Amino acid sequence: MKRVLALAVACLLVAGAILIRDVVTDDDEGEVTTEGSGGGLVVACIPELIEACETLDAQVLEQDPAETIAALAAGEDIDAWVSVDPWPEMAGIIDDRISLGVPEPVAQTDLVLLVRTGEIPNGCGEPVTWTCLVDGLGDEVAVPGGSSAVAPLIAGHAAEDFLPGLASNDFADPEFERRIGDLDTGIDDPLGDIRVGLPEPAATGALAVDLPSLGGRRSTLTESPGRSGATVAVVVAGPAAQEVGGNNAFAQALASLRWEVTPDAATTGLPRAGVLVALQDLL
Amino acid sequence: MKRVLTLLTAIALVAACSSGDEEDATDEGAVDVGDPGDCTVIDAAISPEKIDLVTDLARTFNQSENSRDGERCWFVEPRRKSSGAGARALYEGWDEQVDGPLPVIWSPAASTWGQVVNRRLTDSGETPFVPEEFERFMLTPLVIAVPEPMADALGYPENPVGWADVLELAQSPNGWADLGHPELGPFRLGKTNPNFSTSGLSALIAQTYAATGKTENLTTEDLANPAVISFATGVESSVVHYGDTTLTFLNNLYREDQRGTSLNYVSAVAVEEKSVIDYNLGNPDGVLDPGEEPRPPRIPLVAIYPEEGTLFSDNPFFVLEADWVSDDEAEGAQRFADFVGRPENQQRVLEFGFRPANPDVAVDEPIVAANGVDPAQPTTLLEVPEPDVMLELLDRWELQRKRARVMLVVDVSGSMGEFADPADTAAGTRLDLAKAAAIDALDLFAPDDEIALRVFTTDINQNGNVEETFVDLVPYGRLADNREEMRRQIDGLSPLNGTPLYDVTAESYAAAEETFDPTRINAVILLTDGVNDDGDPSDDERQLDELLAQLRSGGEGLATRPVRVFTIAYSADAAAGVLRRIAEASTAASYDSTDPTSIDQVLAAVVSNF
Repeated sequence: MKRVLALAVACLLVAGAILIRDVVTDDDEGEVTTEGSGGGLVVACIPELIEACETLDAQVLEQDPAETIAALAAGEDIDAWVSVDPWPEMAGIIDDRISLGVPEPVAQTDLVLLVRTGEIPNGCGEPVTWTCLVDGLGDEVAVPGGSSAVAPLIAGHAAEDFLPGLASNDFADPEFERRIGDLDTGIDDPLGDIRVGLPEPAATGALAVDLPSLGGRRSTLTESPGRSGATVAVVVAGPAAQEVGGNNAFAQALASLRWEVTPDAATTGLPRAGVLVALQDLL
Repeated sequence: MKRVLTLLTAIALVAACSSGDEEDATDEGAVDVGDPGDCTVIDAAISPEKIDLVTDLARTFNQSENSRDGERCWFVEPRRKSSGAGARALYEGWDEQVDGPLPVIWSPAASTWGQVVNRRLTDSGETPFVPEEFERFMLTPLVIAVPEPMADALGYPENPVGWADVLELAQSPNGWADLGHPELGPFRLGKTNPNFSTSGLSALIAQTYAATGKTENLTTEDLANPAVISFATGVESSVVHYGDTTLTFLNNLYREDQRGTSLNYVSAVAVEEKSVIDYNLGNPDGVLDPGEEPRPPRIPLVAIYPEEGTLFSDNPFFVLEADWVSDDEAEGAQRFADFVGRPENQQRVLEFGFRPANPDVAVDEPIVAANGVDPAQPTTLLEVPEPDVMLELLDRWELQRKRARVMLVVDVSGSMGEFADPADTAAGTRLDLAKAAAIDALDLFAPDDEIALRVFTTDINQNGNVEETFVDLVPYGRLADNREEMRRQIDGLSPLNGTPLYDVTAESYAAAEETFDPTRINAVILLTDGVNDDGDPSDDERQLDELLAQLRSGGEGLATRPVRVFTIAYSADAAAGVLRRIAEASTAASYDSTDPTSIDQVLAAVVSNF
């Protein structure tokens, strides 16, 4: 079975509204897909971008970052790794045998916060922040858990808001500790839970959101007012980075998934890669 | 002696705790300095705190004319090797499969290790090969680091302070109140295990000299003096825990400082001057990991240079006079030793908070008062004792050190029945190795340490009640009285069911706290190969939050009954991050045995805390 996860870019600035979209179907990590003409390249691809990766003329390996890192450390032949920044740098920190060089930026999206309609705590101005949400809603605020590529990035965005300029040796700060402890990190797919009608969480964050696709659940969610201040970039790392990153079909597929294709794509507003690795370990 | 030999034997493969170390015993391995080509390779075993600097110097040397003489050339390849592990390998027999290439250069943290090696070789009838003449690379003195409010209470630096003051505070039931500062609570000392740590060994030597009133010629007769024995026992009575590295203390202190509770943890720590600088600059372990930023502490440390005198860690460059070292290699090694002694290279050591060994290079930033240290100190230096005196000192420390009250809490969940190494099933299961290591570790305790054994899993009594999660197989008792029962019970363990990690840790901590003995180091050693799995994941987050709060509250306030939970992440399935948080919450240390075959050495490192 194939897991398809489509991410749509939606920077929502509607007052009192935050949008989340997460299309998660079956988890079938590590499956090798050979769609396309099955060219010589071997491309590892995070599940969130698999739909775009499958346009490549390559042997595509659908893998969460941990699997790709293990494969790279074991010396397996992977010509390109399609993920989100700063995973290539994180990989080198997690396992110093890995050195992927400067990745090729391809596209970017805003990281957005979403809150159930009417549940933005009083006093939260614009933009609504993670700090205000957690102080008001406590553990009803969730960030994706599990092993997905986006989990540490969204958690990192929250952490950066709790303590701007966050370093990993700040984790014992009492206020930071309290807020990061309040975050619910036990749900792999918070938006998915909302989509299927579960009562919690009340708020979460996501990438590449497609509000219309929420269908009946749309009315339950509003986007936070104001920009979140964070963007996340799709990057390609490895020897074939330029070849894959410059592939038109690939770029078009990303655009159809609501990523903004631009050579200036960058991840911004998040802690540094080293902090994200440490935060992942903490959570 | 057995304990000393056993500990030194274990040093080489010890898995250090999460923090860095001036002597991180498992932080070993080669560094990449390029391709030697046809040059003679000079293998160098270098202690971890200076590996980055030596590697940088090696690269420079290897590319310079200093490494050439006509057609001949030399290529230095540094390899990280902790001082104790290097010493052990040299006197027990260097195994290249385990220890790396035979070194031509050996550079431990202090030249005292060279004396230990030569003495061991002589005792075993072999020819000593650590030279008595050697280059010193860089220097850092042993100091007693105290939080600034406590230095103020002592009147330092206007009033000279030393080990006699430490003794007085340690023995007073009033603690800091005797100096007019009851708000600072009891006096608590941080001091490492001298069998593992250079700082610990230097502190032991320094406090012993202080007890004698001498600065040189320490003798075995001095050590047998009842007044010296009493002095030592008095100082050791204030120790909060020992350990294989001062960086455990510094990292714990830093975390507590962030919480505003650093004064509750320790009053003083015996460390190298360089560590005081690192701490005050906001980098307590001297290494900036990815993601870390230097954050100066709220309360800085002040380095007290004991008035009775102190010693330097002198980072020697030993060009070994061993039979495996050729004349050509020795020549190349000496060229490198000369190179690192040059003023321009000696200037580099200052960047790392060390003092240059070359007297032509002035002591400069960061060794300045603003960083809590005094470049004009130390004014009194102590002579390094003769090897036989040092070994006697270590033996006597075993008798004088603070005794422990330890609950060993062992996971007997079903996963402990998995093979420790699937590629080598003959090695046994995880539980097999843990049992063997635990039995061996009993020999590392003192006979009058009090040890208890608790095992845990869901439905521990196998009667269908999953809420029965632990059983105390051996209650607290003197090891001398309980050793055989402990062995028998450990040997009889079998893997069973789930892993109620949070519940059992909380219960074990509470039990230890309830029977707290202020004259001992009170601790729990928690060994688990998994994650919390009590059959109900819905409350895991709440359980962990409550557990961490419980552990933290035990260390807060002045009238604390600190029970430290030392955790061992046993196997790659263990929740290492959670176990580290548990250890940190109780200002202890976490240990990594994600490779189960290392459990023997890991347990040795854990027991070094007692």
